[in-house]
Amino acid sequence: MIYNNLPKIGFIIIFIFSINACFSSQNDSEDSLYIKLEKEIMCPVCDGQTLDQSQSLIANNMKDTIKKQIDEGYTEEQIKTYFINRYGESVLAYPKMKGFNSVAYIIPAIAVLLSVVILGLYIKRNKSK
Amino acid sequence: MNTFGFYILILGFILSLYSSSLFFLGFYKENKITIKSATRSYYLSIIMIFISCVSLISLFLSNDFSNIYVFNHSSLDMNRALTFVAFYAGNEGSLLYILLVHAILSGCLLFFSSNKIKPSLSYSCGILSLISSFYIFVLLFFANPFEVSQLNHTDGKGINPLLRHPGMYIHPPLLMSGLASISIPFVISQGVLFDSKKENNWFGLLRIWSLISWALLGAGLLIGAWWAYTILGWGGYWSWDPIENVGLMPWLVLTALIHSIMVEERRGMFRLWNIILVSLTFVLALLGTFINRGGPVVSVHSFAASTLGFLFLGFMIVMTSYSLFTIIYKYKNIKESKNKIESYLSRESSFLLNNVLLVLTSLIILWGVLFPVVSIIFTGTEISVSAPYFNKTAGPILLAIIILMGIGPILSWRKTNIKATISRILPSVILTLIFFIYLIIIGINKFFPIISLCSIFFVLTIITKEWIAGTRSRMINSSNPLTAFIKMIISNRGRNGGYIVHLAILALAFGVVGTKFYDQRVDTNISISEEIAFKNYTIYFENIDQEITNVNSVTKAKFSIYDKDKKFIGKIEAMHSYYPNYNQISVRSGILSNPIEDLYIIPKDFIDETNMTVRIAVNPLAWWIWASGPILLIGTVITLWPSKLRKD
Repeated sequence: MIYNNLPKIGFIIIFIFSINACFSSQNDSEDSLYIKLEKEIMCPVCDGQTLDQSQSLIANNMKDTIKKQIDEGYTEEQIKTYFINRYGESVLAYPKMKGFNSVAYIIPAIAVLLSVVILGLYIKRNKSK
Repeated sequence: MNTFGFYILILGFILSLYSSSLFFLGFYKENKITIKSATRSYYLSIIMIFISCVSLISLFLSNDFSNIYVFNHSSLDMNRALTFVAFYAGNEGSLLYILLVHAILSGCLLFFSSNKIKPSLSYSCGILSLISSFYIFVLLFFANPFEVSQLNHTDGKGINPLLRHPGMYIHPPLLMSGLASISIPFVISQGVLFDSKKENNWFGLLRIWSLISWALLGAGLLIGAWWAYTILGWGGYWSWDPIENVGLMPWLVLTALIHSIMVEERRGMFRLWNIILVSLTFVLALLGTFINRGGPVVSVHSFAASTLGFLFLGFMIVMTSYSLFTIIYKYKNIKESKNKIESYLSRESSFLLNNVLLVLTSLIILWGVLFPVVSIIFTGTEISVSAPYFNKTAGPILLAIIILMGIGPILSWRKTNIKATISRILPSVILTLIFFIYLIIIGINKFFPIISLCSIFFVLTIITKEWIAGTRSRMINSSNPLTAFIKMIISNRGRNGGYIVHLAILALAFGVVGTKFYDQRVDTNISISEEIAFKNYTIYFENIDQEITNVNSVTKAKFSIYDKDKKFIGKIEAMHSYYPNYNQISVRSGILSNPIEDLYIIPKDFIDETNMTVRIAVNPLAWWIWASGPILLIGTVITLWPSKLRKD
């Protein structure tokens, strides 16, 4: 019995061990806002790269600015607004949920709902035939 | 050599146009001799394409800088092995490469398909040679790789430093081959539509070729991610860049296709749907080519940016209308079986749901890629759509697909006996619950990771349970569990190969969860002989080494890594290679990897001889992402391995 289950047991042990090892010492570090912002703000001169991807001069300057502003107690919103005012809305890495641009989120949501409903109806019609 | 290559290409153009008209003629007249002659001239055109590729390579090898393409992508000091990369490093060469792959694969299709199917296949081959002709046309008139410069150059510009990486030998060729190969399943689906006799096993052929495209594209994407991880120096591997996305979209639809084609094989259903999926994949692949070569969105992958966008846009529009037209007017030729879906809880339904979710993900990604253009049209403001958007919209659906991966394969065809199924999955459900509690105890409390990890675990237990049961039933004859296991795998290659691929996807998802949600990083100054403690590591900065060659100057920082108890674990080298001719730095991060986590050191700035700034990051579970590649390939090969039992 045990012999048969060896691969399974082995695999699960490795799996659990890796999870344990890498998550157990987890705590949210204080600079997590910085990391979040770095991933949500684009480098304005690098084609399609966010700040954390870019090593360009301007990106590094912006990262320093973010760090400074966090130290000075700016909120996430304030920092973002600061950069939007300077570089325009395209400095955000995602469309805002406001005005026309919320369409970017609404259409996928509608599409998911609609297609699941259509799928359900399709199977139902198929069944009754 | 320049004029030779060019004229050979012209010859190839004439031959492939000629063969395409003969293919169509032979198909409508049902004339075997015409088809034979078409086949021969098509093989000849393939040879011509091959020869023109060889001429370009020989131009590279002989350092003929009078050729503009060679001048732009090669130099005297370039390592000769890099010629292979330089060949497809630019717009013209990569097009020629795509043409070559297209030609070779269509040659394989012609050569390996049985004589019985050949007369019906000739329509498909006609389209294939038309596509060849289109590529050659673009090469001849808009992107000639054999263009000669009037200036007398003694040395070339050399290859972009970012491309000097082992990943570049495999990533672009695989990805381009994957995208180019999609035309083969597409023309096979056209064969289905135009075959009024309906007696060929088209879908068997379609399945094989879709799997090949799927594996090529998947491997190409994965190796691209690996390249980004090791060289771009930001610790990530997937940035939802438009060019990455246009590679992912056809792959997702292909994934849907290789599932729904199983329903066709088993129950003869979904034939029209399969054909729609193939056409969609093909159109998405063409869209990818268009965006890659001068489309309306910004991307880091500007290697092939050109003014050719309009040509590929035109080609895409023509092919899209063509495939819509053929589906509408020829769908009557598809012989749908009378079978119906009988229950919500059936394999068919789960495949259908899987298809809908995969196609949806693909379309949502498309929506995100195009949304900046939409926003400019409607509001006039420029916006960016990058990783945060896709994580939010496509992420949850991908998670749903993983959950479905556990449920789908345990449902039976037609109708599922609920009681039997519950007793089958009960052990897995209990184990997953225990696992869930365990995760909570060790402090994983974010919603996304916990759901993902539990679904990964659930699918894992389902597959292992299935395999153990299968192995055990074969243990009666032989006592060795390993041979029994192998016998069990071989006995049903399609199913077990699929399971192995599922395991690869699980490993990938596992790695993504770890790196996405639990990465940690710190930016710091460090000087020689200094020690920095970060998480479980102590990082000792040994020294800085500088090597200057006539190509570049490499600055290497060497670190020794110790664990908490000061036990030596390994060494890490992180470097900057500065290429003066390009005024460009190529950053190579240092990585110490194990299945639990990667210690990742990005060299940011070398301040002086003893000081530097680094970013130290720990990326949990990244190892699993790269482990998924080989597993995925093994699974695909097992699935594709020809079996004597399979009907022709």
